[in-house]
Amino acid sequence: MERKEFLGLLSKGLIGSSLLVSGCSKLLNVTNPNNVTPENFWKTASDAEANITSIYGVFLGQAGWSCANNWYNRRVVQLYRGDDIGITHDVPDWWSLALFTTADGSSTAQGLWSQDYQGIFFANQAIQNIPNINMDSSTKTRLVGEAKFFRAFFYFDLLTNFLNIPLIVTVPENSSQYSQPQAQPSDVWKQIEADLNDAIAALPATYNTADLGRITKGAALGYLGKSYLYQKMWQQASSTFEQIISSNTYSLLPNYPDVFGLNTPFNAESLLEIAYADTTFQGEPMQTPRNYEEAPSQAGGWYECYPNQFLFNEMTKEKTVDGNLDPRIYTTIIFPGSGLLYYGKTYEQLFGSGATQLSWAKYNQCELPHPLDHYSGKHTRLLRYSDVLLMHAEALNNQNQVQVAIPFVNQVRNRAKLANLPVSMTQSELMSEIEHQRIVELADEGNRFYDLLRWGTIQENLTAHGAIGAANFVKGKNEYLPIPSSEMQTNTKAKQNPGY
Amino acid sequence: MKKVLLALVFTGGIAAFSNAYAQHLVKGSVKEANGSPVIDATVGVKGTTTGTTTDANGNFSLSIQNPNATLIFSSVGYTEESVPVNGRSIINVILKQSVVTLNNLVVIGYGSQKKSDLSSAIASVNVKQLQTNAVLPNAAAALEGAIPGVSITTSNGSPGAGINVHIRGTSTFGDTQPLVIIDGAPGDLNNLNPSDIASIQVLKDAAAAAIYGSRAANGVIIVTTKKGKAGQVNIDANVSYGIQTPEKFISVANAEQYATIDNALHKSVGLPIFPALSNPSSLGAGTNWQKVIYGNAPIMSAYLGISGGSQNATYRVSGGYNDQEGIARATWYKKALFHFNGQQTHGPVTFGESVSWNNSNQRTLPGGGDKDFTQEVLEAQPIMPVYDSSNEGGYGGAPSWLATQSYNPLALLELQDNQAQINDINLDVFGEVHFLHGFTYRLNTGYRVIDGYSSNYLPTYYTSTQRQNIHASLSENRWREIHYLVENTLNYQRNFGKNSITALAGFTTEQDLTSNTSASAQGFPNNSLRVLGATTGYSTGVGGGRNQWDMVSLLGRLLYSYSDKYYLTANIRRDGSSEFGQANRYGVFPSVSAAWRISSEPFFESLKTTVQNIKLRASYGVLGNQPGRDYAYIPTVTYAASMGYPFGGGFQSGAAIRAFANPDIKWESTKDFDIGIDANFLTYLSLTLDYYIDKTDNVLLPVPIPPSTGTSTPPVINTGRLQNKGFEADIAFNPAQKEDGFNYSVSLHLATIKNTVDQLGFANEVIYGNLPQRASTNPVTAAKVGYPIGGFFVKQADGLFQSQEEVQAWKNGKGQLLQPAAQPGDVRYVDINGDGIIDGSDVVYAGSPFPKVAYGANFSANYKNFDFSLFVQGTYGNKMFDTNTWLVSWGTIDYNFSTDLLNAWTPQNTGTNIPRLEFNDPNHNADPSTRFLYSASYLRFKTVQIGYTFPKPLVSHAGITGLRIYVSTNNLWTITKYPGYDPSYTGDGLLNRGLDQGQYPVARTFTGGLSVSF
Repeated sequence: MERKEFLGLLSKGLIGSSLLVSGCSKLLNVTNPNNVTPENFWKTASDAEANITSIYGVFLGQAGWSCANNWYNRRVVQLYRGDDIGITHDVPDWWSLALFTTADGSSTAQGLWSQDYQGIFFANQAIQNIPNINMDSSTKTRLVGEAKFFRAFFYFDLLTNFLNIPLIVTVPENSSQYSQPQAQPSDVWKQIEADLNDAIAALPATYNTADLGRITKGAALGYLGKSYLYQKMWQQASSTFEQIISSNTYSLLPNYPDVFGLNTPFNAESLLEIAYADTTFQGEPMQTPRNYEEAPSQAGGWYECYPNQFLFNEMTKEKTVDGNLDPRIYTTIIFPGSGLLYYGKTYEQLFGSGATQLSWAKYNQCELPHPLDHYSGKHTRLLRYSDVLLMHAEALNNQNQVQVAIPFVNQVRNRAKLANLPVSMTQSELMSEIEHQRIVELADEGNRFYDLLRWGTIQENLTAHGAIGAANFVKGKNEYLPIPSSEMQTNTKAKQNPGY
Repeated sequence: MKKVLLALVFTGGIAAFSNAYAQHLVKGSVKEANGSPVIDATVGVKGTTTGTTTDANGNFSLSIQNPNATLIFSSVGYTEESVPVNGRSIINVILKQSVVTLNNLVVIGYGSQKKSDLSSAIASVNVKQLQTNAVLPNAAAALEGAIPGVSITTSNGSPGAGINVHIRGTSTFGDTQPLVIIDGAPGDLNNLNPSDIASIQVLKDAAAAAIYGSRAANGVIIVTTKKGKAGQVNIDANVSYGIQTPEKFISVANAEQYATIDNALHKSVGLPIFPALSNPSSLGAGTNWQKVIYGNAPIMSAYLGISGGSQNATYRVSGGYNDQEGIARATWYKKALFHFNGQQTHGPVTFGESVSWNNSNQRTLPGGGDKDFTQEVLEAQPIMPVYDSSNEGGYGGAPSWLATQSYNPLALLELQDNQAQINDINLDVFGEVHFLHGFTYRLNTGYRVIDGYSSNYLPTYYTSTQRQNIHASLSENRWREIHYLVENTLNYQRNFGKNSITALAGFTTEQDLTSNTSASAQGFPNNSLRVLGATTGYSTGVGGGRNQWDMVSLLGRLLYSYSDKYYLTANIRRDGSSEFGQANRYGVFPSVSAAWRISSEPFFESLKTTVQNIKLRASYGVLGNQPGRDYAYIPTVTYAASMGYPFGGGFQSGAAIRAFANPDIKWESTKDFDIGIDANFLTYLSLTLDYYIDKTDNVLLPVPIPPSTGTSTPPVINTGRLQNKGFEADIAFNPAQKEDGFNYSVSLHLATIKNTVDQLGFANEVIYGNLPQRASTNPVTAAKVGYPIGGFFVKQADGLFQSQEEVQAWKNGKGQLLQPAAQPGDVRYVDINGDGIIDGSDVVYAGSPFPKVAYGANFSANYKNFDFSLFVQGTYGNKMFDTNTWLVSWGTIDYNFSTDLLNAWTPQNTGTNIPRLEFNDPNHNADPSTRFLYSASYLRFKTVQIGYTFPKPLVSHAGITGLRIYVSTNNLWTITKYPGYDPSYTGDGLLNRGLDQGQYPVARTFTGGLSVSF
């Protein structure tokens, strides 16, 4: 090799490296090519839309997890502690919830806690940043209203399940703000009411097709009324429900199965629902796992929970005006002798002759001719007009307006082809009827446990109806879940709930 | 300063060419007294870094600048000889055999040093041992048990599984693997053919490793590969073939036992038993799933190395091929390795290039279930048939009346096609020039590109109503990692009288670019179309990302020695990394070490017949560490489909801040202090002792924050302090070798480690490890102040209640009844926190995953042409949580059970430690507790090998210079009380080291092989 050539090469290497030395502070500057930074976000209307959508993503049970796990956490928490279900045995965390032996390590309670707070975190980001975006002001108002509804919705869920919870309404600025003390439950209720009132003012009653699925004024009113009802603020509750009823936006569907149908999304009876889809998007599942978890093993499901004999008895207690079974039972329970086909088979073909087991029909896809697809795209209706009517009746009844309340209960009864109630009913008779209607009308929709809690009759009902965990229920403890260990271990200001 | 230094380097480089040197060529041979050649002996020019090694015939040839220089001849097991050249061009030397192996050159990073001159803790691996262990699965295995304080653990027993190397304790929560330098560039031990290795050095203390600065926080392993030698062409070849067999099975119920236990469980809560299980004895043994899945599997390897060269240019080319099937059916690993080393000298200039190419293909265990595959095997119901031709796919399944149907593990294993291919190409080129007197400038460049591809295909199949797949799925992932390295170093070596000085200055840059692309689809027309383009589009998804990491470093070193008595080494390195924000980007890592060879003092003369050498060493150094996470300091807004929602008008993606970033992260630093002693005495004993303390401050740690913040991704912060203390001893016993007699040697290594967390998190909060699979309870391992990282924190079981009276008597100090609902046969738990309630907060520190002592022993012997070697290793004092046996001991699910449950407590069977069967387990008997924590102390006969070397006269007429055959076994025998598959296993991640979860069971291997050289 020529000496000059080599010298050139060598000096290039050296000069190259001297450039590296002098410019090394720049050399080490990198940008993350995979993500947007906060400084470049919240600039446009589409940023605002995407930010709001992320809250809906949590609502769907997404945000990086398969929705199968996340939303089912909420189902488990809502359903498994009731007196109207039985459970099977393969997920220890779930049966310890039903057994009331849940400890703070419960992954289900922790999943629910984390998911609700993730929704609140995203909502806080939106509420804090979207007002500063230069965009169409009516859209902006609506978007912030959606975020406020969700913040209230997630706090409602936390409050009714954990009671003593940190109330966080801003995005933490530094690590010293990560640990927040638990708030007084009454302060959380106030925040929920304030956010829902803001949402009511900001949200439209209905949306066009493209925006179907977004939060409506009716949903916000419904949750506000429900919040008052849970606080026994009867007058505020009934006047809020009254606004929904008088808006004439909602009505009962004549045919009960249509309320939950795959092909009847956003129907006139639905105030709030989660829009699943029988598909995936970008590999992310959009389906609900209810069919997968709750269908009988003979149909390929996991039969995690099922209606118990108490619910079956309640549903068969009163015959229709035609002397038939309450039609709601066919939509709610798979039972022997129904005469229906489940997953394309008769009850006996599916379970064997002489079988007696019951299984959920509501929200499962047992009407389909084959058991193959375990996941379903059926929307979950979180708040229905019939629930509003029953809550309204309850609020009125508690104000001793029995006669005013009866027609609202009758609306629900009549749709089920049940006779009108006698006008001579006493307040407590009507209350019993409202309880009965709530059991049969809203079965498998996650209300029963909370109803029993607010009526203060949880323990006797668990015991009377043979709930698996009845013997373990401790008053003053098991009404609420333990603060998850993941919070206890990291939040220096957190205190565990009583009894745990 | 930087520019001044560079200017110096630059002008120095030019100066090199203005001073042309006359070269003096010296040739010769190095032999033993009996005339046999000494192969691979080092021939060095005293006071310089110039040198070469002898070829297979003991010949060498070397160009030197000064015809009056002194040559130093050394080799493992021989006494060093110094020979002045005095203008001669042929020098023949005879080396005497010696056990005092002080004078070997040790590679120390950007240079080399005589072992005798070391002032820091550096250990070398005996290369001979490497060569006889021809069946080593990879180079890392060569380190196993060979060096005290170096722990080599397999992450699992699967074919081609990687190996975890830990040097001393654990000083960081980040990546704990040491830096591996192969011929000057960062590399991977798993990509080396053991037969290509010339030497391995391990830099254990900070003083030794500090020249690699922040790259060296976990220690450094320096590998030098074999180079060609001038002279005739040498050919080495070896082949081996072996059989692996499962070492152990875990005892789970057969069909009859399964029915017996399941019936008892159902009856315990008044549930009807399954009619089909009503007559257990009619069910027989059923399917033994462990035997269906695990069986004998072959392993083979072949290797060919060719080397040679002329005086000014040498080469060595090698190729190897390994083909291993796993003991789990349908898993395999195939690897081809190619390696080239070349070196050319032209006057004062030397060039070297090293090229390696590693191609591996493997098929791995299926994943994606709710637990690991090995656990699916244990839980598989024995009443399930293996095959059923009426099912799609042909595999049997559990009956539909079972509400919890296990997977057919064979169906999973054979149907789910998980494959991975990696092409790893590494190219290193250096140029070196000697100039003036004692200066050497070296430019080293490295380029490495790794292309990876993995695919996962699951066809449609049916085994049972719950275990079926109705949409075939395929996902493919491709990734590329490119690594650049440019190193400029200037070395100066000079002796002044009794003073010897070596100085080094350098500037290096590194860059790492990674990218990946992935795509997946569900729904295919049939199970034979296995390309993404064929999807029916039931579901499709794409992913991808890019990462970049840059580092620039300045480094300097000074080695000083006086009269071979006093030694001083000082290192300094300044690293800048793109993993930190602008304000905290640079870290300075200094170190200093000193040694005193007492045996060189005049007053020691009288003792020299007993103690040939004794040297005291002390060192102190600071090392850094970075987060190991690119962009950790940059806050981000995540924009993702996974955060989206299907509105009426269609699906929309969502965007939000998902996690907090910490813009203030800075370098983590480890301060390490080491004292040591090296001694040789009685001519056959050598001893190295070390004691060290290292403390890591500003530990970079993803600290969990309250989930009420709305994020579960812990931000990385600088917090906490960790401490490691340890004692290491290395003792070798080498009696004088006799020709044709019985010779043997023994070496022992032992190391103690004490790891303690001194400070942690924001406020000393506890940081927990992974949950055991499907656990609904608290984790079992944690980092907690005052305890070792990953220590066990579990409920303390105190036997079983034998009677209702014992339940009523179980009170705490305040008289509170602790387990009022318990029944006889339930586990008695200790109320650790004294609050009167037994719950997840009643956990007690129950042991460490770190052994108190880790040890290894080698015994090797030869008699005439036979050689024998035995290597045992073990640990003492460490514990492990065995998730496998724990999962099958629950007795709360209709999956298969441990046979232990047959011995459950009943009023008639009270002499047992297995609690009563209760399907609902209201007493939490199945919770992780001290019941499931086991001692993982073990002693393993790791390798036993017998070889026979054919006498030379017998084979030499065929041109063969060496021919050896051997038989060998690995993992022949393990003495342990640990009930799981392998007590030597270490879990993934620091906090989970002692969590034995879903590992691929370890194999016992019997191998025969042959190695030949021409």
